[in-house]
Amino acid sequence: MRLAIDTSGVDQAMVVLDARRVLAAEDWVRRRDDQPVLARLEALVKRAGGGPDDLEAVAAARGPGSFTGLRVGLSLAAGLAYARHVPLHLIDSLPILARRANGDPAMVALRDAGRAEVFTWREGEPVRRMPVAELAGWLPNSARVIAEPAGMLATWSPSQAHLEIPEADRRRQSAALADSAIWTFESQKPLRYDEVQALYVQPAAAEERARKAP
Amino acid sequence: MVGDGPRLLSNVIRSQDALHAPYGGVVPELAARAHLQTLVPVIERALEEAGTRWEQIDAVGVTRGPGLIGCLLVGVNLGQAIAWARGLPVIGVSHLAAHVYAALLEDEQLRPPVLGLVVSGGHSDLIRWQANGEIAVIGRTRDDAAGEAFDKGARILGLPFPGGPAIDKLAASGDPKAVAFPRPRAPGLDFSFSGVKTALLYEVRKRKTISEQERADLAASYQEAIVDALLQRVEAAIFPSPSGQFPPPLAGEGRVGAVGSWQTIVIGGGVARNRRLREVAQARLGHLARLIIPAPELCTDNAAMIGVAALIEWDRRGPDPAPFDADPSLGFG
Ligand SMILES: [Zn+2]
Repeated sequence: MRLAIDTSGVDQAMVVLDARRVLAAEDWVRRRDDQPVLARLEALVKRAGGGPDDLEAVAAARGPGSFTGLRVGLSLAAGLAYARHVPLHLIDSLPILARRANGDPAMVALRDAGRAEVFTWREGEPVRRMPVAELAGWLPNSARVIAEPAGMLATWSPSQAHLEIPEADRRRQSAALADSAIWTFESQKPLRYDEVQALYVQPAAAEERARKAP
Repeated sequence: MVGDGPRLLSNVIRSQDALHAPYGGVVPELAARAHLQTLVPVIERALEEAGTRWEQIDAVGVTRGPGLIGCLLVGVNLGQAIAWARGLPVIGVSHLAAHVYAALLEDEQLRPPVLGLVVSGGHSDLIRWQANGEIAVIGRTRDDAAGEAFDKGARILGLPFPGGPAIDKLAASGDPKAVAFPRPRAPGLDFSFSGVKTALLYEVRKRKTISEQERADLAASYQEAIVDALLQRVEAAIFPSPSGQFPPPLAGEGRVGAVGSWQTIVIGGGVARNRRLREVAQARLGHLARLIIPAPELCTDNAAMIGVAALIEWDRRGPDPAPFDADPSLGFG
């Protein structure tokens, strides 16, 4: 069985796959004093009818997203893959989000980055982090947009609110994760352990300051 | 990697000093990024150096706290994931307590009660490791930790990060009596280092230019003040003042208050690498009790001490029954 974890956003998910079949899935919303993710993971693998010995590959969402969540997901995935000597994959988070759209994936995925900024992705372009004020200029005039949290486009760019796929037309995070994981397991090269890193769309603040300093 | 005894099998340390040096201090974000990439390779090397395979490992010990959340998260989750995936028990331990327990790698017979001084970049704590196995904090810093005081002093003197080793090195050619820095005056058994730091700043500002010898003298005098302040509090814990100003001994500890009341004193933490501290501690405390200052590589943050702590906690309370989260504000518990 193969395991995929996405703890990068507000809506978090885990799936256990047997080839292309979902054996068990779980969705939850990030909360401050939640139970440890490993506790969920242990229960999920059990529910899928297996144990740690059955793991054949592991994947985790690599962001962009929550600093804490990413560290949890990536560390768990790295630990499991290393301990079982199985392939380790990382999956970009915003393409997963895009797959939450019913039918075809959304062309644009947006995730709240805090501090009046938003992570943006559209097919064929790298992920960016931009001030909310720049979003209106960047968004195509017609596109299917998915946002996290749902409904946020109305706040970020009211005139384009109609572009956002309504919450009722969204699938669960685990369904999107399963799709992305299947594609990744089947077509992508696994990583080495010293390559395990979250996706940062900008350098660390300290690096940035040092670079700008005279 | 630690075996029964406890016996040190391997101790791999991947220092991030070079990573943080350009910023003059530890940058939490960079530390957390580096942790993700280095942890598995470091574990691999520890196994290799100990000549061990995973099949021979009985349990996994991991730091639950205190520390930087981004770094703790990586260790806590990776450690527990490995343990679960290999069907091994896990013991989450306190990084601070481990600095005390590191002394068992110098003397495996060591048992509480022990008087301990833990000095590092984040902590300056005076503790009692009690006969019942618990650790009680009897003195702490009111402002900077001793390691921070060294870092800030080094910055004032124009020395690189990390400040402790830089001051230690420069002080070797200086006169510790050249400048009489004030000794901190925190009440009870607490520490305070902000006064001596300010005094150093004034001494530096007072001078138009500073010769290399003057700089060495300032470093030596500053270091002397910190070392003296630390050891003065240890002595005060051994000899409580007649006025009862210091907290009375806890029940079950016994024989506190007389010379030699403490059979063992342990000094640990990154600052315990300081050569002057080691030397003066030996001179001032060595005849009062058995003094253990672990080897420098066991004082600096290391995984061997976490292994020892896991063995001790295993005996005391057994493994953790369920997955746990990191606790950045964990004490000695
Ligand atoms: Zn430490």
